[in-house]
Amino acid sequence: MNLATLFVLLIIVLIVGGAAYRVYRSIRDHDTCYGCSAKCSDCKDGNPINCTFEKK
Amino acid sequence: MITAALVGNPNCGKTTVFNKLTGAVQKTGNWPGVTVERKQGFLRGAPKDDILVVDLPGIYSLSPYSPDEVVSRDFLIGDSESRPDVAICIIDASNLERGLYLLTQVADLRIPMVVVLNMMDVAEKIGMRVKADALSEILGCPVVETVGTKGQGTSAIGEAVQSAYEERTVPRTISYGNAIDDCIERLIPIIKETVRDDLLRWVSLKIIEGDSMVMAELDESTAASARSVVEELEQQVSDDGMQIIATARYKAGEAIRDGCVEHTESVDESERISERIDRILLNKYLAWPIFALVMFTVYLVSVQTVGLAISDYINDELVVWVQDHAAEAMDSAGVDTVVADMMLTGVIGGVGAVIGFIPLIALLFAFLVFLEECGYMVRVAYMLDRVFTYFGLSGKAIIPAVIGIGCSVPAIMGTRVIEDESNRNVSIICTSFMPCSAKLPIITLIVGAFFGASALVITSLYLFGIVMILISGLFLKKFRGFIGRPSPFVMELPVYHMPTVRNVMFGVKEKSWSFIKNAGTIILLSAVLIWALSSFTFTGEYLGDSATTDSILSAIGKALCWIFVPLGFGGSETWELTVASFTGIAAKENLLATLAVLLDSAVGIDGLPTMEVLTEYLSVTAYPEAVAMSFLIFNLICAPCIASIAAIYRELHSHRKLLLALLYQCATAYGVAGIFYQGYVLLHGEVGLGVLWLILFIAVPVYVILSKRPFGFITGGKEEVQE
Repeated sequence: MNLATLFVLLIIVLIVGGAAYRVYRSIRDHDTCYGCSAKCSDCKDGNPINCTFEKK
Repeated sequence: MITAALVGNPNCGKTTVFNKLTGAVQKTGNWPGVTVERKQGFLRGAPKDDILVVDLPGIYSLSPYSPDEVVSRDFLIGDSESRPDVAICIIDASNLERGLYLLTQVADLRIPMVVVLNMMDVAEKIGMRVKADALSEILGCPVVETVGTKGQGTSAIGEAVQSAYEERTVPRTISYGNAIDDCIERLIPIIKETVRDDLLRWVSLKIIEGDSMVMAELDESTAASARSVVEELEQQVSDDGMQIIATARYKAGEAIRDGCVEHTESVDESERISERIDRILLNKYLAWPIFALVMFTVYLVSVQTVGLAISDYINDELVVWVQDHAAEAMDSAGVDTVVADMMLTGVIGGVGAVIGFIPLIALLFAFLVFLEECGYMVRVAYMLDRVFTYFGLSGKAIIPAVIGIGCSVPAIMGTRVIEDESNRNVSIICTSFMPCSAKLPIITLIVGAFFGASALVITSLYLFGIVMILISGLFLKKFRGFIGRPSPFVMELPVYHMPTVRNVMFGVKEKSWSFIKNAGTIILLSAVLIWALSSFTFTGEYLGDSATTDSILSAIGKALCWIFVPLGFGGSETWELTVASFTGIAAKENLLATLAVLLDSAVGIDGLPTMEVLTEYLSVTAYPEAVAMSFLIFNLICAPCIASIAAIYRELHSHRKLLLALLYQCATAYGVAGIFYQGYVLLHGEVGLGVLWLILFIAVPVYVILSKRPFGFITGGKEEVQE
């Protein structure tokens, strides 16, 4: 495996890893809807219309 | 810390004031039901103590009917320790009587109160001058004037809350006339043992109203004694308790209004203009054609012409340019074929699929936000209310249906505005039939490939969503557990106004960014995963270009594709559509990602699943248009994405109900797509086994809908029968 292949592989790992982490975080925070672009944590208690953040 | 509850009628600007107070960016809207659960945030720049502001769903009274109204009432009553320290009662100054009706009820709870006169600018426009000082004098609590949309006066609310808390400025006791006051005096000793001191007056009034929730809290003997006192009052006034109290509250409200309102000479021109516009837009004969024309124009510009041109440029020029240059660079650098293919097809293909659809999403939402902001959408809800009620559904089911154009998750949660549980359950199950923004790319792709990106077809698909909700209403209402009374939908028609560019741009940014953020990441991951599954065999051998027929995914697709034979895309030559339909259940965006990767290999054309690719791919089938539309219909109405399924579960509170809901959605999708495909085949003169499918798909729902007697249905952990 040459250096160029390693470099491209690294880019793929970074992009896919970043996306995977983003998906994991959205599932963890129940932030999975398209209602708004704000992070649920920014909404304090979360807005049920805009996100699926669990209420306590 | 001070806890302050924001309470007010629907659509009085509570959420706007909440956002100004806390710096939050909660969704606001000009129809009732935008807030269905309480939300909270700390007041920015609080004068002394920390002030926690809790925004409650809008209510007309403290006699709740729907779950969101119960949220407000429960929070305000609380228990002796957890009730709010201060109630911030927001009143639409231009609609004072209605606000005062609720205010008299909140005042009866004996909580320190601050009154916020919001929309003062609108009140002035219609020739009303509300004197805050006079109102404060009458009520005995602080009154703040605000214009929530401009942020005027909101900074004074914090100080008013602090002073109401420190000085315990509970409003003056409102008298409802001698007869009622005497009755309250007689009721208090009866309920004193069972009711908290601070709620004695309020509970007494609720007993006179015959409030079922309050009566249920009393023991039998107390309830019987209280009822006999109320009966005496009813005989004395010759009316029923609820009517007596409602009349008394309105009279009290009118007296308060007369003491603080001056009418000026000015007349609101915009209201007159609105009335004139409504005479045309809500005209008995013109309303529906105009609505169809508006929606047609929206899709014509956003999808068929401008949006498509930009999208095509991105797909055909930009992404292909990036792919070509990346391929060239990797080839010359000697990058391994597998890694290069993963980069080109999986990563760049996946990212390109997202970017290509952003112009469509942005333009569509620019129009939808404009229509909502200017006041037309609420009129659409008004028009649909009559249709929904005719089909036995709650008029309020329109709210989730409209929200569902954006995303099914908030739409499913929005069904909480529907009072009747049976009607609510029908809406929870059917709301996802509306095409959400994640389904838009797949609609655009298929309609673009086979119907010339016709705006008429795309508009029809959104109307199809509404029709499916209505038919489902007729169908499900034939089952015990879904039989309920349609409830009236009280809503106001706001005055038309030109939306600000800032608001429209904000809405577009919100929707586009959330599409990139949420859909983008999922599409990218799916594209890479699908690429991997379609590029390798079970033994781990790399297949390379155009050899996906031996891949892992191909084996799975071919093993399952028989399921879709009656729908037209179950043949082994279209196994990719079977795989896409299954991956679509995880997230609808996956449909696009799956097709992006699989069609690329299947057709042997580099690039995204463009319309040309799809057309060529389906050319092997006998009826490509019918197969494409059947595939589209199935995926529009079958079980929604995982996030929506989770929302359905949260709202139905039952695994069994969830399973039944998913079964209904999938069966409906299967049946309707089957009717379309087999009907199309029959119309083209091909008579075969498909006719039997067609008869079955049509006969079952028609038999159920025409049946006079309801069918048995198990709706929860135990059998429930509701009629």
